[in-house]
Amino acid sequence: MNPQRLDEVRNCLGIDETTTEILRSFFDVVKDGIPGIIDEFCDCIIRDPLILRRTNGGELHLHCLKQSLIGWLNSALLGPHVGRPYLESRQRIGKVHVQIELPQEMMFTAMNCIRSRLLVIVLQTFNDAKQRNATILAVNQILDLELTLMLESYRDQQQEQLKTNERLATIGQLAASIGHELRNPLGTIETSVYLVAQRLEKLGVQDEGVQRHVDKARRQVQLCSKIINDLLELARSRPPQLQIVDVERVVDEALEALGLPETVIKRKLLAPKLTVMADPEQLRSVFVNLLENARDAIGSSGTLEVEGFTVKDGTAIWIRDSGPGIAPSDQSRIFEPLFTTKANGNGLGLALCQRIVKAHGGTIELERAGTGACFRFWLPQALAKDSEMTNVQSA
Amino acid sequence: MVQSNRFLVVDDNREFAQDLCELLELEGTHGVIALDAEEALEQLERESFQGIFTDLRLPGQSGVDLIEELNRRGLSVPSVVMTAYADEQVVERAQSAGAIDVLSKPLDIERWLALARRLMSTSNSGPPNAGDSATPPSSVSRERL
Repeated sequence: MNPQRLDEVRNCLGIDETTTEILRSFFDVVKDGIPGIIDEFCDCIIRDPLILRRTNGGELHLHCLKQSLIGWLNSALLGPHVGRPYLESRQRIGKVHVQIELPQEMMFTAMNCIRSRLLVIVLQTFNDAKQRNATILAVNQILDLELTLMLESYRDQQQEQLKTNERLATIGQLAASIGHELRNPLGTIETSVYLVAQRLEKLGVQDEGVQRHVDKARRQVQLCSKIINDLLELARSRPPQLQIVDVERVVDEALEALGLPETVIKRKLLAPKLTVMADPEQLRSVFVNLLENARDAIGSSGTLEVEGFTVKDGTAIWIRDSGPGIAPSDQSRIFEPLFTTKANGNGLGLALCQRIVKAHGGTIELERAGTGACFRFWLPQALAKDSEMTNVQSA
Repeated sequence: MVQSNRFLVVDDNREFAQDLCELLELEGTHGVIALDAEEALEQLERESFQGIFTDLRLPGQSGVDLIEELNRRGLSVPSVVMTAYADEQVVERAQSAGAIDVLSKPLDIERWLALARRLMSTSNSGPPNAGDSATPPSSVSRERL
């Protein structure tokens, strides 16, 4: 939607300056009660399992959601309801709805909840029929406008996401094909480099430089192999094979794979035996990628922290580092495939983590970006307690 | 048929196959190269090898097809499949055919050498059974950093 289209919709709904004045007057009446309206609204929608999953961050996340809803309702009543800034703020809301996969019908439920509450307040507040009717009309007009804007931006975002998904699928197939083909020549390089080293040793060549270059070449082959593996994993979208997994064991395996010494790791897995329903191999991949990023962030000094505990209907894990954090300009892009801030990064790690976590029905986010980054992911727990762990396998 | 302590290396990438033969020489044995399954079968009719290292994707029949054909002919030779296309289906089919392991390319050379040494040391006491490898057969060495 553009500003011209916004004006058309406003005209269609009969919204004019008088409407804006009425709403502002109503705001003065209702402003102290808005937090209460939002509390009621949240109590109503939070019970929906789909919404519940999105607010699995507990009180902090719910608090942020409520603050953002209060801000939205305040601006809806105060206006101005014209121009690009107003339009763009509503489009951002639509984008978030698509990103969190909010079903479209939830918008109607949400708006209906707020509409009912506001109209009750109008009926209770205004004795003068003319003023009461004008305010009822204005409230309905503005909520209809808000709903129209959200639905349009939701549709636009969905279409954009579909195009992106198609593009990624094509790129993924191409990448997978190239990846497979690259493995053969990489295999030849690996064996040839190994043979060079063996032959030199047999000849009694004791040259530190030779060994250094041989080791470097082998490491680079392994790095290429990892890039290919990540690309293929991203392209393949293998559904997770769920089983009860011991989180501590997966963390141990990830640390071992990365060669991270225990001295830099601080762990707080608070449940005696923290478990999660997950594909062990994919879960390990998530930990490897997050811990690898954290390791690269702290360099030669610093600490990493892994924390996890059971929350409502699932398990939440935090990975924190004491590195420099993530620049504000990069934060919105970090989960994009091929986006990287590292000199030697391939830009696939976080995209892969997000894909895996989403495939498990979970969520992942950057919770803190300054003075060290903190990533948080949550996975739903469909089964019973930690103590009833069965069929636990390592990744 | 000639009894042999050699290995058969089946791969359409000649250079890679030559490297594997060179690795075998470092271990005190030798490799014979076949570029496809048909050539491999001809070699196997002439010589009894200690083991077979075969690529999965070959011109014509695949490496697994080769192993299955050997089973049909009653030729029992310990076989290892190598592939750049490892996934669960590949591993399952290779195991069902009787492969003792499936290795992902690029190879974990130490693991490959360990397999070769094991096959060399057990060749006199009979071939290892499928699933009786040094490492769990379902684990494909695919994740390397």
